[in-house]
Amino acid sequence: MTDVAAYLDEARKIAAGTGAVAALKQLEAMGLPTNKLEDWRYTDLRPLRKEPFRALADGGAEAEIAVPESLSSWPRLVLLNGRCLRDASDDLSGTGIDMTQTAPAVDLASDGIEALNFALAGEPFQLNVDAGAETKGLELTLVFDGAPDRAVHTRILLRLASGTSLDLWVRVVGSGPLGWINLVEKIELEKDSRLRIFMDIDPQSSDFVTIAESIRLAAGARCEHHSIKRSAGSLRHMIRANLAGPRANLMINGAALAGHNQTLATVIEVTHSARDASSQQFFRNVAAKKGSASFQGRIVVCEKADGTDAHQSNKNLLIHPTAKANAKPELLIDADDVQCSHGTSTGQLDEAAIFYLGQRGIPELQARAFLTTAFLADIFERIPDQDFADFCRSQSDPWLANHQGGEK
Amino acid sequence: MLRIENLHVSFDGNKILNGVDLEVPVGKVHAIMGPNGSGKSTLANTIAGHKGYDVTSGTVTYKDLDLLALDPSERAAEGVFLGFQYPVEIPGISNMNFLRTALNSIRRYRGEEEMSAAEFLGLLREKAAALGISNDMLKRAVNVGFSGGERKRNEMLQMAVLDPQFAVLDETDSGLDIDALRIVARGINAFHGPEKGLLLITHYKRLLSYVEPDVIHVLIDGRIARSGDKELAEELEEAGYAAFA
Amino acid sequence: MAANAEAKEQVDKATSEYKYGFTSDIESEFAPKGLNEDIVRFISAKKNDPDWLLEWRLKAFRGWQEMVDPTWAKIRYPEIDFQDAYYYAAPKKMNGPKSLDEVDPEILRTYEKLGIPIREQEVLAGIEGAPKVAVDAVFDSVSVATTFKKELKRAGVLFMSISEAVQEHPDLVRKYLGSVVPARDNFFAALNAAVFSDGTFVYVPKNTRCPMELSTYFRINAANTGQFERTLIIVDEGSYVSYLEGCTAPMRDENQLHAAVVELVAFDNAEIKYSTIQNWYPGDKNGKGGIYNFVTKRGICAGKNSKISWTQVETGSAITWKYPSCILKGDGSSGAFYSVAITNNYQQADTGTKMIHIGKNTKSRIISKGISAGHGQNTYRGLVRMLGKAEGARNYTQCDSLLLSDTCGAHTIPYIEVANPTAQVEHEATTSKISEDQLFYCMTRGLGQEDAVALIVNGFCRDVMQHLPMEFAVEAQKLLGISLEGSVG
Repeated sequence: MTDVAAYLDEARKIAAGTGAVAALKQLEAMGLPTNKLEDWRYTDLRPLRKEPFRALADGGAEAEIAVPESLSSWPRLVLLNGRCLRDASDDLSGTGIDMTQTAPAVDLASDGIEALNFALAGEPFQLNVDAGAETKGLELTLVFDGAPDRAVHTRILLRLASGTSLDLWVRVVGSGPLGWINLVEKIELEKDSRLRIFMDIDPQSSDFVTIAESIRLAAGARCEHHSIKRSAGSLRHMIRANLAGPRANLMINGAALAGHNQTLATVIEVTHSARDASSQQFFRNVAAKKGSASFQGRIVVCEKADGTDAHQSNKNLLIHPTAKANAKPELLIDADDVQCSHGTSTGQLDEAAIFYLGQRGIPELQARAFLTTAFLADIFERIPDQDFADFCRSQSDPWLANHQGGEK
Repeated sequence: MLRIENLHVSFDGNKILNGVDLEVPVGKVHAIMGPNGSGKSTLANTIAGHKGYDVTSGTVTYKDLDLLALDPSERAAEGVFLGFQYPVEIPGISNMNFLRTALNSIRRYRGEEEMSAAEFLGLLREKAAALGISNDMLKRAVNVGFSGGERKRNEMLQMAVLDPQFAVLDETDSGLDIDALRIVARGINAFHGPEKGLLLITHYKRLLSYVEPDVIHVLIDGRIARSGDKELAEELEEAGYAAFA
Repeated sequence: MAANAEAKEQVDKATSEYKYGFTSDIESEFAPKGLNEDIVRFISAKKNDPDWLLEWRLKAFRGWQEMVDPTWAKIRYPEIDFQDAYYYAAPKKMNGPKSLDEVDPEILRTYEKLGIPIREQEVLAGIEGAPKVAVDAVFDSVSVATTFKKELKRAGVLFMSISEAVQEHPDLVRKYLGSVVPARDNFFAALNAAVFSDGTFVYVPKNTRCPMELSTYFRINAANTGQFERTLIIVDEGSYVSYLEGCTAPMRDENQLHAAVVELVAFDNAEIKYSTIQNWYPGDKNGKGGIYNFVTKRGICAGKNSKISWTQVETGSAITWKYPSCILKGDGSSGAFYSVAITNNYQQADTGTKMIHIGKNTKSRIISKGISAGHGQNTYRGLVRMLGKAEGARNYTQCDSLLLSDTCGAHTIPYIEVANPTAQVEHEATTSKISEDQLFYCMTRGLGQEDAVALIVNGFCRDVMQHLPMEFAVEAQKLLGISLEGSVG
């Protein structure tokens, strides 16, 4: 394991501002994570054991970036390595969305990697939807580019004021070989606000990707988080949500595809700290040849959070003899008037179903592809934005077709 | 149409069929009756090509084809249909999508053009109506959350849409109430004709009062113990299987 | 909430009215307080250990000194001062094997009060018509009596205290001791290996169905004394044994440590059913006193188609830390874990299992029922691991938690690790409070609230209780304080 000192030394030279200095202190105290930390148990941390990734100094060379096509019908912001590409972005005036970039606040990091992000991401990119704003949607395209030995730390803050609502597409796109994408997103949902996130994570040839999202929901706030992700060398996606106000509602719905020699870790923690809130989680993993997919999902119900309704479903499909999957669903309950459940299953395609399809005339390879698609179908059906649902299918179908080979 | 000779089959290392000889000519309805564990479902699954059943010797010939050399989807495309005793649930695939994919797979195999969505829908609606299958059932995932009766009716629908030449119906009558049984029997009779062959596998003679078999075979311990006309069913009803062992 | 109060009362009955909290006035011989190599040598000498066993103990002890207490469990307790306890306490007049006539009458009275038949003509818990059960009674650090030894020996079954086995069958003991739970397996297992003073040994030869249930009753009596017993059960090809253990201890204000090790070995086509009713003193209503129960139990299905099942009813102890596990090595072998754990007042339980699938077509089944009341903390922690060669392996896990108060906690922490795609693993868990609808329904059918709660809690535990041997289910029924509505099993 690369010593945290190497990162600290570099960060001390670059980090500026009180927030960054405070973050460095946290990094020093916590160190970099290891697999011994429960929440990092199934994350492939091998990339961290190599030479330390050096921070990309100046946002990269803008001119050479091919900005991906817009996918939604919403106005779009394009960020390259955390900085706005004005030419590729739409003018947000009149959309009700306010955009600023200011000095980072002192924040408490949950682990060393987040602390490093706080220290090195510079000014966080902030989006605000102010009270009374009439907002519909936004596509936020985050393009990452650099070099194989470089790290990009990007930090995004989003706040929805009371009673507002937003549909947000978030696209995490790798544009060339990059060492490490380290993205931290913090979302504040004020009273009765409503956010729907449609997240596409496609880091391409990146070596190491760490994405940490935290969502805080005030009373009556609602959030839907839909995602599809393709793995990188090693990808970790963490979502921590706190249902801090009564009657808040959260849905997390996602599909993840772990490709050849890639590992993918999804870590979810949903905390119910107020009464009468509800949460649902649906997560499907597919692991291909030498791929490894894992799901760690924790539901925490604090004392006095009565009336909680929290459920979680996870299924993992292994489509190659060398594929692996891990699951650690957790229920930590300290209130009594609750309904909580989790279910997880891991296995390959149902042979009885393959025979059944075969008996109806569908050849085996086609049957396998068909059933694999079906495995993800209910995730995509749950997506209320038709464009995003179609996009997910358009991404997963060829992926599945490419990775079915060598099944037996 | 279907000729089985000296068929020996093992499952999980246990010998189940011990030399079955059977011939179903075109246009005829044969029924196989037998106690639990006599090998009825093994016979059905072997005809359809289930991997788990190990044919240790014998032949199955279907219209001059060596059926055992084909994989399940090829057998289906050649016109062999198995009505499952326990139809499999397939979450995530709608009944409609499933049937259309199956039908077009079979047409591709036969070198026919795929059926257009509109044409297919017309065919499906017609066949579904005849079996009292609602639109809602067509949209739901294959067999997921279906009642026993709905599943068996769904099997009949698949048979009607795929229009095979030879059908093996494995205990299609089990677990049905009288109304569902009538609907299923109607489906079987609608299918049957001079170009078709039918092998009914059943535990009780109940179904046979709706679908009249030409020949009844009694399967005991993996062998055909006796064959006869429909009177045999009456005899079985009175004497029980023990008398044939 | 009224309904929950009723339910809580049910649990209170089971856990608070501790009937086995009396102390017996027995003259005992102690090793000096504290733990060091001399104490290990003292115990070893007392047990008349062969040299290899002393060496094994010392190796474990030296390993233990390098280790620290595990902290990953969801249990909180003040640091244990391992120097402030006795590691050996034996009733005096217990030098060498005795007939019952020579056992201190006070000890006999203790077992009588506990309802444990240590005379062969007696039956378990005074239940008439119950089948014969052979008993090994372990009192503090030593076995005081073992019944039906002769009858068992005629069937070829060896059933004796492990101390006797070390003397009489040293080759068997040497071959298997530590073969499943190595001397330095973990902190508490290493401690046990260093200082274990007694326990039970069972060997069932090939093609033998053990003619009766075997059981061990563990009793901690002396104050400030830890109990460190070790159980070793070996079942040879084609054989079967059902083994039961029960545990009680006096009510004392201090916490006492119990760190046991159980090792099971099943060869081709062998089956071991291991059942536990753990009713160590749980502490008082305010969380004072009670046993710290840190136990390592593990079985290996070494042979083809072998079976091991663990069934446990955990109602006692201030702290329970135990994970009876199965290593499924033989092709086609199967493991099961059936557990009911109740935590009331300030009890904490962190319990579950590990199912390690190595062989092909191995199967495992886990049913865990946790009931939390008062300030109790109840955690299921389990691991299901399918290794790369475990073709066609299967696991099914169901974990349910019932909450009876708003100050208790129920936690479910499973780990599922699959490295073979033909393996299938299913895990389901629920946590909820007792259903008002069910209560209401039962009451409209004429049941009193208390009976309704009893019925529902009973139903909640039924999937586990039915795996207990009949003789034990009766005791478990008494313990849970709920009616079992007719027959169990």
